[in-house]
Amino acid sequence: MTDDEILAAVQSAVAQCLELPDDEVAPHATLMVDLGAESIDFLDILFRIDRKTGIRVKVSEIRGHIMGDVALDAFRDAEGFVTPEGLAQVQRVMPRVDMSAFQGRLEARHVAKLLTVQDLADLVANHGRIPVA
Amino acid sequence: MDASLSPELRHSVGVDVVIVARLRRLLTDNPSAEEDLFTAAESAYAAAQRRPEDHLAARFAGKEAVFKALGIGLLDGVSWTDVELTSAPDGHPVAGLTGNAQRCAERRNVRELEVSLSHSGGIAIAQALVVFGGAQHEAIERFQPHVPSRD
Repeated sequence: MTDDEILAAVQSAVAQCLELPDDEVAPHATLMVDLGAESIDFLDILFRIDRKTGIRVKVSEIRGHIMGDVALDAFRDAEGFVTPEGLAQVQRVMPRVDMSAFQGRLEARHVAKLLTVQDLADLVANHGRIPVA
Repeated sequence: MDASLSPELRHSVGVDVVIVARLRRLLTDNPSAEEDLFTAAESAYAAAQRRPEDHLAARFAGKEAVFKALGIGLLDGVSWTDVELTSAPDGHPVAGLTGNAQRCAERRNVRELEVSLSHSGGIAIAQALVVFGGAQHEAIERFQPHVPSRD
């Protein structure tokens, strides 16, 4: 599949899962904040993508996509906030995110809220090349 | 226990709500999702109830509530089956932690974990309370699951 075909499949899966019009599922839309996806929806969306593309992305791959080679203890500090190294990693894999808005106070457990439809499409396109953390 | 007895102890709560029909749709469309979300003991317990999906939805809400109370999420590498919610003989839910959820609890020195579940009118709700602090060895022993998990 081409990247455009994968993006279209992901947009369709998200729209069907969240019962949204297709044109509302823009590539730059964040799944949780903009589109209102909940954790149970993530699993549903991944199953739908599997049916449409034959590619089953695991939840652990999302973690691997976000964190890359950065170990968890280096990614976030003892209080649960993303470290400068972690913020740099987030910026690397999610270049569309305005990191200045967080002023270094991004909670690690909220990073998943930054995931966009395009990020998910990239995950599918890179399936098999992402370390499963 | 009363967390106010010791200044060394802190507590945190988590809450979650699940629409039963939402979970039903997921499991109907994707039967294998049940293994991703629930341990064998949880599935067996729910299957023995008159309305299994109500009980599964309550347990899913319970897992999410526990994650919130522990302050952990996707990046901690936890899976839903790392939290197992079984029932004590008197009916109250008991949370058992395994895998990365257990490791996170140990790292945070979790001493107590209590969960309350309820469901009515197609909605399931759960609340979790975590007490942090105290002797670490006591905390670790509390979170062995009461029944073997699917894994």
